[in-house]
Amino acid sequence: MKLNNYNFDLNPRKPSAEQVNKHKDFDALLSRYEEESPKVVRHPRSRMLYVIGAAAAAAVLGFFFINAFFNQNNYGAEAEEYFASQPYVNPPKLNIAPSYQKHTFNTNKASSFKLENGSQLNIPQDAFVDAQGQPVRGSVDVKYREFHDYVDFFLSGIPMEYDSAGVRYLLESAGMIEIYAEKDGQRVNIAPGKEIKVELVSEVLVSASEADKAPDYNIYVLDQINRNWVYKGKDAIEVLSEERPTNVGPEDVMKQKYQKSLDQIARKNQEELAKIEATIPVVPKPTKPEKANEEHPVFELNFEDVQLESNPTASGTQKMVDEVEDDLAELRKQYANSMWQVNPAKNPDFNRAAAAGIDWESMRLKPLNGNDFELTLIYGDNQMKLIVDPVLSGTDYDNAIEKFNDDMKVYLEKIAEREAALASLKDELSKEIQREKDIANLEYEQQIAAYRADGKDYAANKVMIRRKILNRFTASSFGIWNCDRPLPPFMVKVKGEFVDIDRKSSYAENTAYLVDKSLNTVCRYYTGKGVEVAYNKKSDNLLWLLTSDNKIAIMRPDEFKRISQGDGSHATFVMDLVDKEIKSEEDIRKILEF
Amino acid sequence: MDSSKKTVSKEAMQEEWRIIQAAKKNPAAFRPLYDRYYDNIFSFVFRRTADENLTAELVSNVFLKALQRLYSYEFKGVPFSAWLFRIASNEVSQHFRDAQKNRVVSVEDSHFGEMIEEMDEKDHPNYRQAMIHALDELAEEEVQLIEMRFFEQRPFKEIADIFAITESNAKIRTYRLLEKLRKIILKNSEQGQAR
Repeated sequence: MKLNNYNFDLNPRKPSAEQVNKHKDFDALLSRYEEESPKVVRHPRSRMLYVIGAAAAAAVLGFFFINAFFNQNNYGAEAEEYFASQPYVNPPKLNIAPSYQKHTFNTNKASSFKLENGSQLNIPQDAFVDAQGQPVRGSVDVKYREFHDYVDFFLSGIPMEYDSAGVRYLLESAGMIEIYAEKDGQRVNIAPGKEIKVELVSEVLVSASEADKAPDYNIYVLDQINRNWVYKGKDAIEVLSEERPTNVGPEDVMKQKYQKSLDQIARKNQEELAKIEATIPVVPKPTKPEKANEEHPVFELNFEDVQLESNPTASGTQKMVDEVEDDLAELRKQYANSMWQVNPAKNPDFNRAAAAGIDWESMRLKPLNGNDFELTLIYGDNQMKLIVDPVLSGTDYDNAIEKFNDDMKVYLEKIAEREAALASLKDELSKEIQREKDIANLEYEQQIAAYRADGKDYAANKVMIRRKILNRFTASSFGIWNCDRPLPPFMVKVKGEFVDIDRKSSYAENTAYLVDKSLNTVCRYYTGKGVEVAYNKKSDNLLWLLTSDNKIAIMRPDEFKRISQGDGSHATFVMDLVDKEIKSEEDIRKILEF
Repeated sequence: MDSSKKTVSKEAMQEEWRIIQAAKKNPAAFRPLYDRYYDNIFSFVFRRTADENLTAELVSNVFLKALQRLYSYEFKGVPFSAWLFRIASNEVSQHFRDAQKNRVVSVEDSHFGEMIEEMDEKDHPNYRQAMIHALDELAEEEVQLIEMRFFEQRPFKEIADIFAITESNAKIRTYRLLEKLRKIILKNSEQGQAR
C-alpha cells in the first residue's frame, strides 16, 4: 500500500533460507574490504613518531608482560612443533577406522553409487585421468567412506582445525567424506572440468531455539600438502526429517508462564474497562437524515398498521410488550414525516408494478444495521420483503438536517464530557495494567537471567532437535571433503597437565582429544605440561588420550567439571585408564559414550 | 515476545568483544560475527526493502562498513548486534533518501492486532486502515521505534541498545508514540466526518 511517506507491505513474505544463504559470503566480503578500504600511507615523520610511541609503550608494558608473553609463546610453539612433527592426517594406531565402500563401474557411462544410508555419488562419463593426465578407460574402482561423529573423526585422524588468514577456528561438521578411485590398483584423478556430485546423508543436532534457522554450513576440502582446509563454497542442505523431543525446556515453561500472566492482565484490563464504561451510559448518536431520491420508489407507512420486530431486552411478557410499544412510539416520533424508500441496489428483485398493484393488509418493520429497515408487506399468505430507508424531502428534510446538526453538537459535547469523566479512571487503570505488565516482564526477565547466569543457556542444556539432512555439493578432486562451519574460539583457557589417576606420572608427548557434547567436532591438544586447553565450561566435555599401549585414558564430564574453571588458571587433567584391549569400533564407542 | 529475540548474556558479549579485538587486528577474525548476524541483518533490511537483491547489496554494505569502522568500536556493555542494526538502519535510510523513494514498512496482521490491543482500542479492519494512515504521518525514527517494538517484537532492552537510549526511555517513547497515533487517528476520523 503506497502512501505519502512509506510503502506498507502487509503480511510480507519472508526471505527463504536459500535466498539468504545465496548472498552470504564472508570471503567475498573480505575481498571487497581489501579492495575498497583506504590504504593507510603514513608520512615518514608520522611513522617515526608512531614507532617511537609504540616503542615507548612497549617499554612501559614490557616489564609486566614479557614473561607471560614468552611463556605463552613457548607453550604454543611446543604444541605447534609437536603437531608439525606428526602426519597431518594422523589416525590413532588402533587399525580401526570407518571402512571404505567400493563401487566398480565402466567409465564410458555415467554412474550412480547409492549407499545403504541414502547417500549417493553421481559420477559423469569419462570422469577420470591418470597421473599423466591421460583419460582412463574401462573399469574403475571408486572407494568412498563417511565420517559422521566425534568417534569417526577421532578414528580417522582427520584434523578439525582450520586456519583462515592466520586465525585458527575449529570446524563443526555436518558430515565428512573421503573419496578416491583406482584403475588396476593405481590412483587416478578427476579429469579437468568433471565433477562428482555428492549427496551425503547425515545428522545434525540443532538447538530448539534455532529450529527456524536454516542449517548453514560450508564445504571445505583438506589440503594435505599445505596442511589446511580449503574453503570451496556453501553447502546446499536439505532437511530430510527431524525428531523433536516432546518435552519442553525450562525456558519454554518460563515463557508460557509469562504469557499466561500477560493474558490474565489483558483479561483484567478488558473487564475493568467495561466496568468503567458502564458507569456512564453511552449517549445515542443522532442519525443523519437521508434525502429522498426521486428516482427511487417510496412507501408511506401508517404506524397504526405496522408491527415492530425488535429484540426486547426485558423478561416477562408484559414487560416485553411494553418495550415494543415504547420502541414503536419512539419510531413513530422519530419518523413521523418520513417516507420509506426502496433502494434498488439493495432490492435487486423489487417489482414496482407488483408492489403497487396490491392493497397490503399489514406491514412488519424490523430495524437492521445503520439506517436500513426490513419491511415486510403482508396480504393473506403473500409476503414481500424489502430493504427500506427512512427518507425526507423538502422542508421536512431541511428541518431534520438543522435538528440533526444541533443534536450532533449536543452529542459531541456529551461524548467529550463522558470521555473527560472517564479519562482519569481509564488513565488510572492503564497505569495499573502497565505496572502489572512491567512486574510480569521483570519477573520473567529475572527468571531467565538467573537461569542463564547459572550457565544453562548453552546448547548442551537446551532442547535439541535431531535432524537428518542431505548435504549436496560437488567434488572436483579426490580427497577428504567436509561440510562444516567454523566455530568461534572457546572462552575458557587453562594451562593443563595430563596425569594418571594416581597423579604419579604425566602423559606428556601425546595427543589429547576433547569433545564438547553440544558440538559435532573433536579438538586435539598436545599434552605437554602447561599447554593451553580451551573449552566451553557450560557444556559437557569428554577428554581422552591413547596410551602407548593402545588403551584409552579418559576424563569424563563429571570429573571435567571439577577442574579449575578460571580463565588462565592451571588445571590438572586426571586421566582414568580404561584397562581394556580395544579390538573394534564398538569397543571405542562404548568407552567414549556420553 | 519471540523466544529467538533474547537479550545477550554478559558472557556472550565478552566473547564477542574478544572476537572484535581479534578482528581489529585481522579482519578475517570477523567471520564468526558475520556468520552469527548475517541472517538477522538480512531479515532486518529485507523487511524495509522487500527486495532480495537490494537487501543483499545493502547487507554487504552494512558488514563492509562495520569492518571499516571496527577500529573505532568500543565495548560499552551492549551487544555488538545493536551496533550492526544501527549501521543497517542508517544504510537503509540513506539508500531510500538517495533514491528519492519511500521505504517499505512490513506489517504482519497478528502484530498489528497486538499493537491495537496495546492501545486499548477495538481491533477492526477500519481501525487498522486508519492506523496505517496514521503511521504514514510519523517521522522515520518514530516509525522505526514502532516497527522494532511491535512488528519485529523486539524487547525494550534491545531497542534501547539499538537507539543508544535507556530502557525506560524506550518504553516512554513507545507509549507516547501510541498516544500520538491515537490522536492522529481521531483527528483524521473527525476530518473525514466533517467532509
